Amino acid sequence: MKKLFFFAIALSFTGLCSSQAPCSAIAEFCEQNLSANFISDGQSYRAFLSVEDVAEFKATLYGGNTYRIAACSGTENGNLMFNVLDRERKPMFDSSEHENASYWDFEVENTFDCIIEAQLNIEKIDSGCAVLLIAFEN
Amino acid sequence: MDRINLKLNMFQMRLTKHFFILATFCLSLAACVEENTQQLDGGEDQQKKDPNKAQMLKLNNQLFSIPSPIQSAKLFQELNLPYNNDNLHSADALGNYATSSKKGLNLGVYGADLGYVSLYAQEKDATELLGAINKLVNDLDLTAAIDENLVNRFIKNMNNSDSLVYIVSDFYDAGDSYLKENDRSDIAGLVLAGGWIEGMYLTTTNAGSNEKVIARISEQKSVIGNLIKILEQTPDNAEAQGLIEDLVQLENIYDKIDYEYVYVRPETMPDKRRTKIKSRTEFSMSDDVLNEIKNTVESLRNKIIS
Repeated sequence: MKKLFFFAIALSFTGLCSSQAPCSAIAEFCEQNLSANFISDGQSYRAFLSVEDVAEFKATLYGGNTYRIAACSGTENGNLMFNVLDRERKPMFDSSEHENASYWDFEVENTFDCIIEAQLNIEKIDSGCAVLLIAFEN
Repeated sequence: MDRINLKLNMFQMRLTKHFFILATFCLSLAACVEENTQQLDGGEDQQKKDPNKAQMLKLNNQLFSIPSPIQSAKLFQELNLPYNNDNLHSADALGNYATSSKKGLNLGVYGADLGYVSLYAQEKDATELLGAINKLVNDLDLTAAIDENLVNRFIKNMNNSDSLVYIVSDFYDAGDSYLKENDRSDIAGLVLAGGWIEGMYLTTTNAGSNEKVIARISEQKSVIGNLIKILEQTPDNAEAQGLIEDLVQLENIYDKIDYEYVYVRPETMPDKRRTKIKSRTEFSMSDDVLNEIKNTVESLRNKIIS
């Protein structure tokens, strides 16, 4: 029992450390979610978030393309939750319904103006740099 | 005696286990303290240097994305439009750019051209553009981000258009991250603006009567709005502020395009980690408005390359 207690404390400290990683390290970690057939849109979307903050990203996804959106905070997957809304803010996707997936693919039939909201998974992290990557399939 | 030895051994084993647990804890703590100290050392620095953080506070946690100009070039390739180098920006114009802002804008222009040329694997044009980009990268002090390795990768893959688009994308990515991390968001915004304007210029000059290309032109209203918001984040940059006025003028022309948005329930396939977005926006753009957009984009592009 004592052993478990000590391990829990040690692990929580390790977790806290990973949540405080700098933005560049998180971006590098997040790139692992983009497989070889996806080309980055060449931009780096970063925001510093606290518990109640929600970052909002506005993007246009062209029709006839498949996009991958990857969302990370800290250096483990599932720390950043994201959802995609249409221009009228109707929900299209919510990562919290899919085990806080760190990436998701969107097959876009027609050009689509969207809003991507991102917030920390407060069960795992309470503040830190949030990184969002958008890439299109080659 | 044996019983005492056994007890001693058991005590040693427990001690070893506890020592191991304690050591793990201490190492975790030490690593954490060290990392957080580094964070604190660089903390203020990072807060100053990370313009995203400042932007988030200013703009109510909003960030804006501009589609990569490579995607327009990719559309031309998919539609089998012939390669046309008449409208590429000349590398000879490099000497015209004296300020960092002008250099940033034209780095975006040459970058968009390089994306187009790369998809069509045009070695001669690519070499010229790469030379121009290399010069601007040096002038803008971006060599820490876009180093010789990236340039050499490009040269080695000159005949492989598939690889080249990834490398051009890496150019953009590395430059954008580096500029933002080093408190130069104004230049990052201008590179994006230059790239988008050149992408629009290539699209409008290659459109002809191709419906898909014309549709792509009509779909840019939100992108212009996002670009204006990005440039508004750097009020101290005169070049960016001048550009906003021109982009607002272009946005006003886009206001003449009728559109209707139709929501369609998306289809999510959790096993494939994929969602099909089926909603659509139908645009209705007259030829007059298309010509107005073409002319405005051309004059905007001439302004930034002059």
